[in-house]
Amino acid sequence: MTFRTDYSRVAGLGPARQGAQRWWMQRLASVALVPLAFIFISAISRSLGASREEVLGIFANPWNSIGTMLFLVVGFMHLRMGLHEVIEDYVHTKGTATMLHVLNTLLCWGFAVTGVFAVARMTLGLGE
Amino acid sequence: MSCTTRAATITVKKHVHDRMDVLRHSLSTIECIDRYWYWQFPEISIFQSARHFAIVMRVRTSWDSRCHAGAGMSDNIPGIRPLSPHATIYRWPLNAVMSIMHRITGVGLVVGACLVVWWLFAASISEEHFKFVDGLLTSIIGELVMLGLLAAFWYHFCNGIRHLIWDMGTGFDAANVRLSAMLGLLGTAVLTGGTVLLA
Repeated sequence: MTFRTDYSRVAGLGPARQGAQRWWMQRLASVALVPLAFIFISAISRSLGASREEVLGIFANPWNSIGTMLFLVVGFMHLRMGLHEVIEDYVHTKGTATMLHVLNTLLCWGFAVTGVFAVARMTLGLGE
Repeated sequence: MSCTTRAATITVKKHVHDRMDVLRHSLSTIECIDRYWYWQFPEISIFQSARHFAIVMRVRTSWDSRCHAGAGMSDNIPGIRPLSPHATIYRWPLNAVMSIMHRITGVGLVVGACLVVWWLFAASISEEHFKFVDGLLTSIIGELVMLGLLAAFWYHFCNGIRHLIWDMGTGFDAANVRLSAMLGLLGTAVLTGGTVLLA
């Protein structure tokens, strides 16, 4: 029993079987971010306003640095997916929307990798 | 509106016109001011009365323009109805405010994430770069921005947990939505205050 129309069978178009994928990825990221948020905020709030030596000391702790790195990777994934949805909702010009999607993806990956690089550098003692 | 006889049509029109008159009269600007409408209620603050006045004006404008538009085609009775919903006129339910705030804080946190990454990068590179970015973020304006971002972060966190609970298929009834909204706001205040105290 199929509910597809003749037209859709001829056109060969149909669901890509990824309907719930983005929804699920966003929830997965959210769940991961719940515990990571505490590690990230604790590390950042203690090191903001401290001297550079203290900051390097805080991120020399693997708990802080792994937590922060994970938070940055998952956080920027979550952020990219969220912004993607916002762009889809409010930008109705195809060209502008595509441009924003590209910009969103590139910037999010750029910032995520920069953040991970920075924390890794401090953890491995390359920042001195 | 399916009125077959002329008499019935006239009755319906008359009915609608009477209701319109009542509505317009009860919302009239002159009534509000002439009868000192607001001053009969000492518990209504000047802000509330100003807000009500603004709403009255907007409702009137919307009704007047609709009536005017419908005047030419008098059979089109639905044409003189106000549009619904009036997002700018109705009082927003708490949950609607929470929902749009979730999106606003989410977009706002993009700025926060980029600032923190810039700061981390600066800290990992050199003392001078760190001093510059740290100076920006710990200046008075920087502290205020970071405090706002912190509150936005915990708000998005608490409201996000509400969403995760809804995604599990529970908590949709009005009482629970209201309860979780209150808990979310309380959680935001507690977590923001706690972070500031412990930092």
